[in-house]
Amino acid sequence: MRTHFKYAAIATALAITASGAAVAAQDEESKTVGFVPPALTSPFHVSMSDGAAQAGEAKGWTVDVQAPTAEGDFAAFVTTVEQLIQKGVDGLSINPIGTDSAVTAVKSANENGVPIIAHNFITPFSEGEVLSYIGYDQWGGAEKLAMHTCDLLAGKYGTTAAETPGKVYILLGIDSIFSHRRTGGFKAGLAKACPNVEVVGEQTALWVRQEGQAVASIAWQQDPEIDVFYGNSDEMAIGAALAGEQLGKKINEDFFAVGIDGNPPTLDLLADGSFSATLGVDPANMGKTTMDVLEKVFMGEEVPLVTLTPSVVVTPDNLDAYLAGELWTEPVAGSPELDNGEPTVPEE
Amino acid sequence: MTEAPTAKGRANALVRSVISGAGPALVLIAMAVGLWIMSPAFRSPTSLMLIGLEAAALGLVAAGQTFVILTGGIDLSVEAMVSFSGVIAAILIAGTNVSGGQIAGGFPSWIAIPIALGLGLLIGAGQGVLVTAFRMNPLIVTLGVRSILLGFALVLSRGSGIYIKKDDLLGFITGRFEVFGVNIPIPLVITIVIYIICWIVLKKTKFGRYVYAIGGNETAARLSGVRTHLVKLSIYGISGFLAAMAGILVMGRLESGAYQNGTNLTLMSVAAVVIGGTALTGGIGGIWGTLIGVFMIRLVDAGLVYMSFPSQAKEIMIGAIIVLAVLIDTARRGQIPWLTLRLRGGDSGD
Repeated sequence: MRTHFKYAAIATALAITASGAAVAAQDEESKTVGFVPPALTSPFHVSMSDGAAQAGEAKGWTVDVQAPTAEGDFAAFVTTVEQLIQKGVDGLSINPIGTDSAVTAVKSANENGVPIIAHNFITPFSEGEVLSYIGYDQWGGAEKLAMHTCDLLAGKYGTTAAETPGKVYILLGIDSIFSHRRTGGFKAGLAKACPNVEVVGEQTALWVRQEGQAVASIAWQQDPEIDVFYGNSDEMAIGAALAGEQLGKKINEDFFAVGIDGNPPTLDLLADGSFSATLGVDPANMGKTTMDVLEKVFMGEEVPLVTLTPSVVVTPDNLDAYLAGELWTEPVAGSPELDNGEPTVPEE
Repeated sequence: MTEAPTAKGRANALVRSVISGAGPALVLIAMAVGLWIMSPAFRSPTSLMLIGLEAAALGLVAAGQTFVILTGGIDLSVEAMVSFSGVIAAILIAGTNVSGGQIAGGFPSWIAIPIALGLGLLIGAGQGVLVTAFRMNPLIVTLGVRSILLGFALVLSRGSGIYIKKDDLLGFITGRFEVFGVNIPIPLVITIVIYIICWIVLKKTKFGRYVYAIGGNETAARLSGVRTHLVKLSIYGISGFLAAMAGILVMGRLESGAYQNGTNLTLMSVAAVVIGGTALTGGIGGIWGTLIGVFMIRLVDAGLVYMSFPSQAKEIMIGAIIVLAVLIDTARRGQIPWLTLRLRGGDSGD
């Protein structure tokens, strides 16, 4: 009979843990909104979800944040969205990371009449009706970061950005629209602001810190004169900064490390003087924006197909202002981002 | 300490053997009932359909994994094969490897799918050749091939999902039909059919007996005339083929072939096999236990969403349930001397 007991024990354990976490009963007036990140395995998505949950709760809604356990588990992503629809959510905001990988989820929401928007993603799907895509302009952001990089190099060589020499090495994310946009925008920025600066190499570092460190170490063996490591994500650039330290180079004097994301660990390093600059996209406020857009949808107001949230180059100088949320500007209507090697927002 | 066989003792023994044989199934039913009571959303036919749909691809991968593990091997390449076959089929169907909005222009799926499945079979059997003829460790071979396949899937798809329009065949394979108001997903039907075939192969054919014999004692099997190399080569071929089949199902469901399509499936398939009572050392176990393991994993996944369990902590629950299930199974077999449940005799699951 002890076996009986054991089997019952698992089921009970599961039940107790799960029911403890169950959401409180809601009154009839309030909305329940589903928020689906690709996974909650990075500080970026955690702070975006927190921002969304806080903003939603401030409106008196219940925000049900559900995510697959791993980014890239597309099937689990689609199923999670469909399960939230079964739970009867009134609206959905989803962040698919693969182009078109969530088309079936969107179609499912459409069929069930659940309004759906996408966050941190401004590349429209081939099919299915998403009311609004909310995110930042990766190309434009990377371009801004490149222009700041030109200023850093000009400082190092005691000249102007237009004149300065310099060698840049790019740490690429896994080949995707994200790595394409962030690399393309950065190169465009360099070409505009400091045409004499040379991109001496680019290699994938798989979005992660230890690969960034490994690739940067090897790159420096090949060319000890590399001035800047630019990471498609902060984590890879942090890896490069660590590699430099281990090779006896001084960051912000001998070399610079810049990246995209503006995650809390990067901001700590900036405060500490062990990183050069990041592109802050304020994930928490981006999360809040999703709730604002959904509110408009619920009230029957028009929303733009693309809502562009701001991005800003964060340096040790403006770090405090960024952390206080002072650098946030109101989102604006924008244009979709395509993997076409052209700026997202057309240049005049 | 043997008891005298009284009528009551025999009856008890019978009850015990039923309980021990059906152990994992009982846990599964208890979990489903608990979820049914606690979550109204879980009761909708669509929710049940979703679990069946999610179980299908994992089920196919785990069926292949069961064969491999029964021979004492392991196949770590399966998730990569799922991604690879999906990407290959999607590119063939789309007629291009540029992502976004293709309106066909490629091959119909009755050509694309067999090509992807054929590649799965060949690559799987290729791994078998490395494991047998070249005497390489299956762990290393399949880990290496995993990397190669993921690499190919990434290069071929250029890092983004290849979007496809489903034609009739693919639409049918990934569709559903209604029985008494309940939607039955076709992928689940395909998976159940595969399980029935696997069960027949394992229990009713010479090949099946050889699989158990190799897992029990490979040298003894070879000395008694079993062509162990050929059997093992076929096993890896089967695993590759079934993983490729799962790849088609996932690709069809997502209408997109991407190199991430197989994420998590390797670990989950091994977990399903072990939860189902197949020993990692080989020789002991069966196919139906694996199917129960598959449903248990998918039920936990779904349950955590229906219960609004915090997503960050999901892996803790999933991991804990896997470890618990295996612990109970080990105890049930009487393999832990200080925790014997005195329930021997139900060794093989089915």
